[in-house]
Amino acid sequence: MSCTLAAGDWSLARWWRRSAPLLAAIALALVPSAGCRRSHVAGTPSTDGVLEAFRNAGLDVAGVANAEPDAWGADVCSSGKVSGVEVVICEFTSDEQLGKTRADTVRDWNSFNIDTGLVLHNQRTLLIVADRGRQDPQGRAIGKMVTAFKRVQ
Amino acid sequence: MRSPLSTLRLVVAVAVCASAGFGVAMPAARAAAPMVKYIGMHPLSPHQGEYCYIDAIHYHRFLPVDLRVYVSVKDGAEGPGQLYVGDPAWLGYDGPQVGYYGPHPLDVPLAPEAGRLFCYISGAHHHVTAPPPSTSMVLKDGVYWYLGPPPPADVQRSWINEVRAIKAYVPPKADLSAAPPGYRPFGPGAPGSSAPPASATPGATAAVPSSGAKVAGGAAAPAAAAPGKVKAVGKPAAGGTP
Repeated sequence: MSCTLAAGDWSLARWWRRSAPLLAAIALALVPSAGCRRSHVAGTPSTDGVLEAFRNAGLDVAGVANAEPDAWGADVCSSGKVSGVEVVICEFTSDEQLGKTRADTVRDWNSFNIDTGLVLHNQRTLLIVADRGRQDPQGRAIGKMVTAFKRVQ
Repeated sequence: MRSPLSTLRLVVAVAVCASAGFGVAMPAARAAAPMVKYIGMHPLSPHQGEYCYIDAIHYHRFLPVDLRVYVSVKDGAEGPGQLYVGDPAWLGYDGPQVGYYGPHPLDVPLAPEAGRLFCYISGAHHHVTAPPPSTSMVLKDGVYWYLGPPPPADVQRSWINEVRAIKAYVPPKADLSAAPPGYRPFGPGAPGSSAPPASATPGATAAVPSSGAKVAGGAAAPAAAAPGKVKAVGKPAAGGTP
């Protein structure tokens, strides 16, 4: 019996010795892709989920990329153009910080060349939309964003 | 003689300088006007059929052009906002809509701070949403009728009935003869008034109150319906409504 076990242990060791380089290579290959994925704030819609909802609503989100969240006092942000309109989506861990960013954004619009502005939150995820140059004069694209954003869980 | 290439350079240089100059000047000029808060969808200036479809609180750089169709809601987060209280289809809205007849309570989920608001449109008109379930709102033949207590008299709010719709406007098919049992008409279309209900004048938004017309809720508050008082207050600029 003990002899059988010894044989089993030996087989396992040999398998590990042979497979270790391959497993290491697979692990190394996975590390970069895992590094690209951002962790999201729990308990609030993720920026990725919001963008998916926009995409499903027929909006072009190809111009949106990960953004530096510190500029917005947030934890995770994405920003870029959606159907020609500038959009920022941020996740917050703090309701207080979300409220501050929201108020600061509205106040700052008075100093910038913006035709239409919108700031809306769903739980602790904030959507900021700024239309410069009347890219969406009737707000149809922005209206779609609002509807999709409100529905994201 | 100047070569074509140098002429082209000169033209390009002038164009670049001009565009750079505009780029600097424009933001300063535009930013001089503060943003105006709007609560939900609303017609766009000059009220000739362009409509803003943003169904949320948002901001524009321009003021509303016709205050007869707006209510200023104070005490809201981030300052007072402009709420459009007219028939959206009057001024260009082309989305889903619900038929109403006469004044009725107005539900505004986007601005709960507005408190209890009434729509003062006499006659048949539309809104974007159906009213919340209530025993005082009766749906008959696709049109909602308000059977509750009359709205408080408000002369300025009744001016909304003077606004004219765009040519393409089609009001809901309803008149007083189709009213459900128990319906008591309010406003200029009410029996005894000299003005006809809106549905009697297709293409118009609503009845235009004559000098002797009652205002909405006039039966409950006749003092506010005195025509002399309307003139004394004066009317706001009609804006661009056609």
